[in-house]
Amino acid sequence: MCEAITEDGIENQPVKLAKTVRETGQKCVKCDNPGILITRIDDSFCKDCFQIYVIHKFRAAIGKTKLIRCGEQVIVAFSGGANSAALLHLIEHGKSERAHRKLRFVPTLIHVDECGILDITPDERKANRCQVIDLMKASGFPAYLTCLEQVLVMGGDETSSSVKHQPTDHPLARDVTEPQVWMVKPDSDGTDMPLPSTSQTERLKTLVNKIASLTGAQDLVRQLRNQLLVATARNLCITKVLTAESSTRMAVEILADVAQGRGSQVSLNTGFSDTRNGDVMIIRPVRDLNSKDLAMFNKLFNVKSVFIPTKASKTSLSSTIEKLTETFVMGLQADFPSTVSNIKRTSEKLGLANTETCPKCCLCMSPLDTRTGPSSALKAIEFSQKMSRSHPTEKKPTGGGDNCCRDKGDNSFQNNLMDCLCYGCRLSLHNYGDDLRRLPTFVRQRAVHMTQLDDIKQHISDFLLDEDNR
Amino acid sequence: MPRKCGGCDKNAILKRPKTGDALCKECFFWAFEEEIHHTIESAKLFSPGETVAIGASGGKDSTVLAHTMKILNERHGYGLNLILLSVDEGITGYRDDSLETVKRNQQQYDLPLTIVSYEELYGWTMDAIVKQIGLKNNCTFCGVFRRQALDRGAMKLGANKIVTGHNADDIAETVIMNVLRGDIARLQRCTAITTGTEGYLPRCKPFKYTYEKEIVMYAYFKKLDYFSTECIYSPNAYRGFARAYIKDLEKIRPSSIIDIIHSGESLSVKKDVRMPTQTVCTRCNFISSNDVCKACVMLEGLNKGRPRLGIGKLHKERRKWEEELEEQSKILSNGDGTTPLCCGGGKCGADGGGECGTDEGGECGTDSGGCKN
Repeated sequence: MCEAITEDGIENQPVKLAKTVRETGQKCVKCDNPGILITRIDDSFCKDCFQIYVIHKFRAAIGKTKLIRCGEQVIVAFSGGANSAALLHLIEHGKSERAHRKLRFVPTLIHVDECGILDITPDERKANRCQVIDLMKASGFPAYLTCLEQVLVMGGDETSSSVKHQPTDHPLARDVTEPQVWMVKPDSDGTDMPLPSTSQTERLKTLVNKIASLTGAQDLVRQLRNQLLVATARNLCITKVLTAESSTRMAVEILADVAQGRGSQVSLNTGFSDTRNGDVMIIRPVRDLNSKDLAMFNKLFNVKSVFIPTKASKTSLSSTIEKLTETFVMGLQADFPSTVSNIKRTSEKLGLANTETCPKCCLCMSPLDTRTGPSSALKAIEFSQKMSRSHPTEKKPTGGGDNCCRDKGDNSFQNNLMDCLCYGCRLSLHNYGDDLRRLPTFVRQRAVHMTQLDDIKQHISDFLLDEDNR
Repeated sequence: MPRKCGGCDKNAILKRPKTGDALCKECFFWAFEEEIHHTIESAKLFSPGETVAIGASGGKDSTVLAHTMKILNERHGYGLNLILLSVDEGITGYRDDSLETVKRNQQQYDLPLTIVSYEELYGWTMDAIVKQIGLKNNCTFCGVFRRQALDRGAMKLGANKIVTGHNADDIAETVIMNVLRGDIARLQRCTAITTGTEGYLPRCKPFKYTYEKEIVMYAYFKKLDYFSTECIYSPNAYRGFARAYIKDLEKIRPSSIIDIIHSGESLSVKKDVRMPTQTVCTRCNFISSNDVCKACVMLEGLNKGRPRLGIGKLHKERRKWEEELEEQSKILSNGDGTTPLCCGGGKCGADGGGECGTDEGGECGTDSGGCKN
């Protein structure tokens, strides 16, 4: 397939790692002590220098961006997994007396219990919770617990105060409350935290299981979790959320995002800071360390983590796009050690088109990427679907690109809601059919709001001067 | 119970890879052709009276492209003057056979055919180049030369546009490749349906949204005559990984290919990222992102016995070359009787630069299309 070479035909290709047998007993590159592990391609470190290296990478990422102010409250999203355990340890270390310069921010931990979507017994669910709670308590920081079921009741507005401004007789405002969190008390062992009601858990399960593909289900859970974290932070009046994605994780996510039609969101989903949610910012402070660094760090410094299964656990390596991508990236990384950093560097050059004027997706809050011109992948696939479902009587030579648009007359709620979602979220929910009504209230609330705004804009469009404002 | 066609009442004979719908043969042909027409119309690819050169290799994509372009030109009255244009890279046992297919196509579709060869344009056949450089990086030469060869051939024929058979799978693959290589400039332009508009021959890809599988299906059911052998020189290994990834993705979610193209279309580059600027080659006046275009650098390397000059970092290879020359002159002026390291041309370059390029992996994204020096 030589035709497939890019337009100029020149391809600088990453270089394959030469397999060499490494000598044992290499010295640490920083001091003369014997090295105990190898980071990056061929640098060996001793335990102390490795610790300095990891801490430096974490502190430098926070220091360089100057996003977190002195004394500011931040939320640390704590899943219990290896990456977030390492992040928690780094923060603990930075706050301790041993630290060279103390970290100035004030952390609060939050764990989102996602076990509601799994088929496990309430006792198993409680056991999982207890393990995470033990780790959170050990840190001594204030800690909260919430559960994914809360997305069903939370509201969708940017500031929690405006939830109250909604007229109470509005059908969507009736069952909206603020997302609940439970404080972890120092003497609690986790068993005193109430589990969500069975009916709520069932509702969440149907919501997720309605999606036929595991890829879509995982994607929906990710979006819901992010929205819940943001809403919870807002509720606690904290405007920064720290999450613990490693560079390896980032690289996988970048590629998986591209593969799931979320190319325009790569810079939001994987940058150091994510500003899509307006007042609450997501920050990723360990994105300069790879998963091997963090795993070695946990091993060497006895950082404990727990394993909590997800829906994709114990499935095949190609069960979801994310897992397939992970296998692909890890495989390449073994032979081409620059893979992860190459992918990350690509994402660092990507930005956002126009965040201000663009309406946002009602589920993931990223700028809508579906208002494309007539010549686009989205219109092409819509046209293909129309072509393979139309009746022969309609078979006459088609005109320009304008005929392909969705039937304007069909104003059903479902089409409206689909219109308020970005390309990626549409993909995940595409086989939802009529059940889009079952989406959490906050999504529907945002959709109603957006449609109203569009209607108003249409109403006054003749008087708007700026083209961009229309 | 046979499945019914989604478009009419007949029994379906295939499931469309793109949408999953079951269709009969006629409805599939119709949908396939009209979708390409839709792509052409919505992107306003052509205007009436234009001469369009179809890049024809004899493979499935270009054969189906020639076929559909001819059908659509007649059905929708594009008013285009279509010509076939082939490039003869000079690969014995591959291109000579596929060119026979193109010659048959010429008669089947009644379109004029022109063949331009690397030999007449550059004085080198791919066979001769491979003898020099070996089976590593030979595809780089072929790709760079082919791009120019198509342009030169089309200009000679007075064509206004070139259409190529790049399909959706190829484009998705290129998006993934460019993400993997950190090549932001190419990532941005690789999803454009038309490229190279500034004063040069625009190139269009009417198959941009057409699945490779559907092209094969179309050729199969239409019993089109095409040549389906892989090039005898080793295919691009790294691209093979991306290709395998796309195929695996397609298995999980068939729309993945279009989804990747959507991603490529909708991503935007930060404003402060430095992009290569387009200029004109000082030697051959062709479009280039450097003072001297890649094809000229590669030719220089070939003609002076340093074939690696066009691969990897230019300045590194040049420096190595100069050092070697210096050493040589030292040895010669000392006159100490030792045999000179290099014969001064011919074969010495082929093994001299074996290691260059090992360091390009980390940096290649910052200055795509060769280095600035």
